[in-house]
Amino acid sequence: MLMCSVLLVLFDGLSAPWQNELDQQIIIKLRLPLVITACLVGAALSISSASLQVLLHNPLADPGIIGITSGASLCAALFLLLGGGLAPNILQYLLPLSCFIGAIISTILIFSVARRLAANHASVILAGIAISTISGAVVAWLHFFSDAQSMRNLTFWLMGSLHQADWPILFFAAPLLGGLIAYLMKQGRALNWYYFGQNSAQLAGLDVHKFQNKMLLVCALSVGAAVSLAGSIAFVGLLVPHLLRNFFGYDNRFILPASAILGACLLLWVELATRWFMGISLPVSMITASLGGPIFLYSVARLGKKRH
Amino acid sequence: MVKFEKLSVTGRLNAVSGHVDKGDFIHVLGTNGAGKSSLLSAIAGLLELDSGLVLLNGLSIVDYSLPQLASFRCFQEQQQSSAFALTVSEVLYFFSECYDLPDDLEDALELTNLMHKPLNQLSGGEARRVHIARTLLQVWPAIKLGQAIILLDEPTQGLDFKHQHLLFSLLARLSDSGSAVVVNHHDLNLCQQYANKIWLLQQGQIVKTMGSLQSISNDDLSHIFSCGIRFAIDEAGNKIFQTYLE
Repeated sequence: MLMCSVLLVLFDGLSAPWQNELDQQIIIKLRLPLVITACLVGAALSISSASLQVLLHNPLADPGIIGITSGASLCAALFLLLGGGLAPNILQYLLPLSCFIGAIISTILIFSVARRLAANHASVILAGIAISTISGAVVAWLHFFSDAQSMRNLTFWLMGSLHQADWPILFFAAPLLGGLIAYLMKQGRALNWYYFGQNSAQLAGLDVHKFQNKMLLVCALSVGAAVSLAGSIAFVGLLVPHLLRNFFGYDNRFILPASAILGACLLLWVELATRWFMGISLPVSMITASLGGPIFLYSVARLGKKRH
Repeated sequence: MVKFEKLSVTGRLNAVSGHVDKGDFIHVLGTNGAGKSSLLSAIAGLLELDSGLVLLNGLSIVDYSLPQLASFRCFQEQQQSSAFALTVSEVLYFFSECYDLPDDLEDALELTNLMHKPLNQLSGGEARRVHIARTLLQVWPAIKLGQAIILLDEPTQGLDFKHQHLLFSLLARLSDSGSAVVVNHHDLNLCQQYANKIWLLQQGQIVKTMGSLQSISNDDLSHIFSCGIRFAIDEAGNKIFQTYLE
């Protein structure tokens, strides 16, 4: 399924890519980076959310709920508004970096606030909501004081796009994200022990403090890197693991890799859908939220029917 | 198998010491807040101690790696819940890697008909049976070798009479085959019927250790439980207890 989607996005609309040099340039310079970005971002957002939901004992958890996305968005907003005078080619490379730094800073803040509250998953969510609210408020103020062009750039970036990344950025981001996704894929067995909380995981033989810290850090880095590549993309993290659990059960040894694959496919399908039906490139979040909302509703209704 | 010395946790355990031998089926009795759950949790290595030492098979519990510990010591906590609608078979598989219950467990816990139901749709007693199965399955190889340490915090909570007896009969068989079993609950008659050692706990200390309730006076029991306790003697000479408000 993933391979078909990749091939469709790569070769769609090109008549003879193995003969035509222009087609080859389109594939190498435009479509291959787009495909890699979509796969890495979709996989990272979905697998991080699937992990966070079990880790934080909250089926509604996604990178937004623990404040990582909004921390990254705040730094990006600050950079877009304050660095408006920079040359576009410099801006293009520094924006993802500022985003990633924002994700790291918000993660450190969430950890330190959570540690002061109490060392459990509820405190991480509370700290995340607080950081998220503060970041959202600052972004709103920045919106208010920005000029029209900066506001447009910021709004477009906040809605997410798969077309921002190019080869130099992917050269750094792809190995990092690939490594983080591979690490998360291997944590299924330990996460299965987490379904009944920290104590039950510890009794089953897991060093929960070390595991939890490592997992939160890896999820934060994955989300930070994903947001740096494609901006803020809504709903993918919430939708994909729910859909999979609904049909295939709760074994994380399957759910984590499957989330990564379906997340990647989903963003590729969004790209194809916009290309086929709109003929233009739209912000990804607009599509993921528009399609994801009804699918999520169906998934919740199906789960409700199964339970009764 | 287990020796613990001067375990203290502020407000919960008060320099409590004791030991559990191979083949013991110990019942821990005491009022709410006497420290029963805390004591089991401390022996399991889950509770952070202010001071004291827990030795398992002669080695300090902190010297074991967590996977090592999980291979022969199990502990079922009183409260178990999940935010996810896992089925019974998933719960058992995740913690034991096996889909089929051993016959001994199935005979006592009768879970076959529940296997495909979500845990959050089961009654309290049924869910309790699933958690007991999951807990025992975790150390099943050690149980087979008669080397397991089984700690269950109020395992009879929510169970009907039949399953209370089925469970305690199973635990008695496991202790007979060499494993050590420690349970806490509030039923003097079950205690009288199945225990081969009893700890009475008061204010975070074991105030009395005995082989059966035959050897303790009613006044002492009433004092410990702050409740009236009387008994009758059945044909076999065993006490049958009744409690009442004084």
